[in-house]
Order: sequence, then structure tokens, then C-alpha cells
Amino acid sequence: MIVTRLLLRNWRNFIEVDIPLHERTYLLGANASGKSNLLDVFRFLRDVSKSQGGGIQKAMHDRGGIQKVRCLHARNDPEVRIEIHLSESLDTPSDWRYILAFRNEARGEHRISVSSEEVFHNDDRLLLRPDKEDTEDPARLTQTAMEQIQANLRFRSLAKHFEGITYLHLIPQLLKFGDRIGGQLLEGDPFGQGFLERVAREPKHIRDSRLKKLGESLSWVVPHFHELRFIKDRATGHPHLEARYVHHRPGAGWQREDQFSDGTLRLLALLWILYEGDSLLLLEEPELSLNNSIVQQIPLLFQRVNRDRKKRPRQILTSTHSEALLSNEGIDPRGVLLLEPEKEGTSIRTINEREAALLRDGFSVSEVLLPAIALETAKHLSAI
Amino acid sequence: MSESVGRKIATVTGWNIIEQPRISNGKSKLQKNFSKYCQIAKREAVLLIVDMDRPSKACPCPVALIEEWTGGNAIPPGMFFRIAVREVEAWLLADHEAMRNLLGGQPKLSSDPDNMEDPKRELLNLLKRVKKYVRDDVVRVSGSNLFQGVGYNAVLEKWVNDTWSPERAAQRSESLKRAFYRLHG
Ligand SMILES: Nc1ncnc2c1ncn2[C@@H]1O[C@H](COP(=O)(O)OP(=O)(O)OP(=O)(O)O)[C@@H](O)[C@H]1O
Ligand SMILES: [Mg+2]
Repeated sequence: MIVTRLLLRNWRNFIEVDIPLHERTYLLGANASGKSNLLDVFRFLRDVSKSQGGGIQKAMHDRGGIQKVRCLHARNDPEVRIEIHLSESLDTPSDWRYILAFRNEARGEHRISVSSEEVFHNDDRLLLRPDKEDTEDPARLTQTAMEQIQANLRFRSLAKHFEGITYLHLIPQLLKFGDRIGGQLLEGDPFGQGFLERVAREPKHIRDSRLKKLGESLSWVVPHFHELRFIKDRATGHPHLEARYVHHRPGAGWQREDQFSDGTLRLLALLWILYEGDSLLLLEEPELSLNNSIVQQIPLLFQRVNRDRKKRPRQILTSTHSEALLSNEGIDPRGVLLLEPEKEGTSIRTINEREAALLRDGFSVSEVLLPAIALETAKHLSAI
Repeated sequence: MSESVGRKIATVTGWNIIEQPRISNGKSKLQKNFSKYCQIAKREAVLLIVDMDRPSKACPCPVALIEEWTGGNAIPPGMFFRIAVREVEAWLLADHEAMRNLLGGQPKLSSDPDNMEDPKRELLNLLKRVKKYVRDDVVRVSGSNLFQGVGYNAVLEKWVNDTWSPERAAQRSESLKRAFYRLHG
């Protein structure tokens, strides 16, 4: 399934948003323009839909309550609203639609209360809340139908898709020194610390064939890289990845992940996760700690992984500041979203006609769109 | 792309390539730095490959383009300033053997690529017919339009490096032939 459209009202620094999404979408914007806030909408839907430890109360509580999430620029409207459209593929019309709006209870414990929840499948309405039972027992509105196994039967596939959403903002140091800093894992492992455990959990034949593919891609970009293998430490039982390089002396043996370069580790985890799941993947700045000539090929990396995945391409939503990444002239401009801070909140738009013409003339996304963002940033710097 | 083509030509003709300053792509960037390249060319050899592109009023032919860039000043002897007519993709299309190797089958190839209206479009059209495995890397179809794909540069640059031969291509492209034999000395 692919998310084709997202509409928001009062979500963090967005008063109103209505954007299309593509198989691969890039979010561009100055610092603090709201890229991570936008990714958080999808993480929120995942947290609501989780079959274990999910639900709207916890998802909001983990975010510091609705007062943190509701847009501070919103005047009288106390409600936060999310509408998301999905379809089987990009070329088919959107067949699923999910709407969730909520606010704080006016009285009592001030829990989160669902003010409306709707599901459509091919224009058939499968859910409309509040319904009669909700009116009779308002306490029911503290839960979404999406989070309840009994209530989401007719749109279980939607709930599963949300639950499978993955967010990655990989920090290599956390992975390398996890043991020493007492490696506490955050829910959903956003920083990739649990990466090795995930590799360990995969059945051997899948793990081996995937590591082989990763090895091929790595040898493409990491100098002298030769071979990759997975082992479990005999003494501790901890999983490890080991690599061999071409020019090491014959008896030099294998290097463990704590000796890999930051870039190698980031690339490894990134590639592994691209192959791993089926649902939407949210990536924060995949360019970090990678050389520009590699960063430039990240769009190709995405494309090649999806080619290997054949009929189940993975949808990717990426935030980036990288000139190198966006200088790849093959990027589909329809998959580029611009976040533009305004006096009150941020608005998001696709490229306009003038920009589209420049791109057709052969300029890259980075040449056409980054100058305006740099200007925005410069304005703030000059105020310092 | 011009960068890999330049590297290949220089390698084949026996030049040593030094990576400083960064070898750059992009016509406007090159033009901006033209006087700096001329400075370098007083000490070392500099190969500069520039696409002719569509002829315009201001710049109807290669000679006019050179005139525009030099502002009438003499080009230092170490400077190899070569114009690809219309663009470097024409030079790629001129090596039929390498093209067949890239595309597979028996594609219809022009015997006079220097006189093509739009060599890059021609190349994209040919690439549209390669096996799907490569095609999705190198071309992107959007409605009825054809654009380069995210792997266009990566795939073609590798091919230029491994397969494409400037000697063979020079047989069908006058502008490449001149560039090649200038460097060959
Ligand atoms: N409820 C809210 N209402 C209005 N603004 C908010 C709200 N919550 C967060 N913000 C603002 O959003 C901004 C942070 O946005 P975010 O972290 O998404 O930026 P970003 O584009 O990811 O930036 P970077 O490139 O630095 O990572 C902060 O300036 C913060 O004040
Ligand atoms: Mg951010």
C-alpha cells in the first residue's frame, strides 16, 4: 500500500496542509521548518495502531499531551485533524481513506477524546464516529477504532499498514557503544541501536541472502570492502556483523561493527531497513556522515532496492538538507515537497510551474529549490 | 558526464590526471572559472570539454562560443578547449560497438551524430528499449515524457569508463576526432 495524500489541521507547526505523496518523496526546508514534525504524523498513526502498547492516549501522552501537538498558531479551533489517503499502487485511484480528529475532554481527567473517526474503502463508508454507542457512553471516545482488534476488523489491513511504519534517524555511535552507555532502547528503535538484534531475528536464509546483497552495494561505495558476515559471539551470545577488506594482510581476520566507519555503519543499517519491511519508511537526513559522491547516489540506491523488491516497492519519505543528494538530475520532481515557514506556522507545497520548467531545462532540484531555502536561513542568521 | 568522457579521452591518449582542483561539471560553472583554468594552463595541460548546445543568435557555432568565452584573448598553449557538437551525448552515440553492447540487440544508430538535433533525447529514446533491469535506473517515464533516471549518470559513466572507446567514436564524430587528435599530439 502507498500513502497518496495527507491532509492536516493544527498539527504542530502546520495550521493547514494538503499534500500528495509519491513512491519516493523528499522533504526540503530550512532548520525548524517542520520536516520532523511532518514525519511525526506517520509515527503517531503507527503508535495509535500498534497492537501492543498502542492507542491514542499513550501516543499523545508520549508526545507530552495535546498542548504540545496542537498548533500554537491555531486560534479558536481546539481540534487536531489528520486525513490520510492510501492506494494499492501509485497508478490506481486511492482506495482507502482514514480520518482522525481529536481534542481534550472538556471535563474530568482531560483525556484525549476522539471527535471524529472515519474510514472509507472505495467510497464505501466503513466507519463513522461518534456513533450511537459513543453518544450513550462518551468514555468510548477515549479510544480509536483503529487501535481495537474488535473494532478494526473491516480495515485491519489499514491498521497493519500503519503499524508497519518505520522511522529511522540512525546514530552510529549509539550502535557502536550501545553496551557501554547502557543502551536503553526507545520504542520503535528510532536511532537504529537495535539494528543487530533485528539482523539476528531474521531467519538464516533470508539474512544470508540479504547480507550478500548489502555486501555488493557496499563494495560499490566503500573502498576495499570485500565481504560481510553475521556471527554470534560464543561467550556473550551477542550478535555481530563482521567485514573483511581486500588489502588486509592474509591472516588479518575479520573486523567487527565497532571498527566500521560511521558512514559504513549508516549505509549498512539504511540498506538493511530498506529491504526489511513493507510499509512506509521515514528517513531523517540519510546523507549524514556519507561522502557527497555516495550521497548523490542515494536516490539510485532507493531505486535499486525497490527493483530487487519487485512487486512490493517500499514507499520512502525522506527529510534532507543535502545539495549532493538533490543534485541527482533523475529525481522525480513530483516527489519533492517544500516546507515554507510563514508568519504563522509552515505551509507545504509541491513545485510550481516555473520551477517545473527549470527542471525540464535540465537544472537539478538542488539548483532550483535550495537557493530559496538558503535565503530563508540567511534571513535568520542576519538577525543573530 | 563530460567529466568521465574527458577522463577517458585523457587516459587513452596517455595523460596523467591530477584531481586538483576538483574536476567540475556544468557549463556555467566552467565559464565562470574560465580565466582560472587559463592560469593553470600556463603551467599544466587543461582539458575543457563544453557542450555546444542549441545554436543561438549570440552563439551560432563553435567558433563563436570560443570567442564568447575567451573574449578574444589568446588561449594559452596548455589549454585544450574542445566543443562537443551538439553535446557530449553525441560523442557517446558515435561508438556503435559500445552502444550495441550497452543496449543489446540491433538498435538503429545514426552515422552522423554531430548533426543530431538533440543527442541526449536520442540517447534516452534508445535507453528506453534496454532490458527492464537497467531501464528503470537510467530513464524515467512521466506521462508521455522521457527524462533521465536516478542512475543515468552512474550507469553511463561506468560504461564510458569500461566500454566506450574515443578512438572508435572519433570515426563518426568530427568534433570528437579533432579533440582526440589534438590530445594525441
Ligand atoms: N504545537 C506546535 N505549534 C507550533 N509550532 C510548533 C509546535 N510544535 C513544534 N513546533 C515548532 O516546530 C519547530 C521544529 O520543527 P522540526 O523539528 O520538525 O524542524 P525540522 O524541519 O525537522 O528542522 P531540522 O532541519 O533542524 O531538523 C520548532 O521551531 C518548534 O517551535
Ligand atoms: Mg528535523
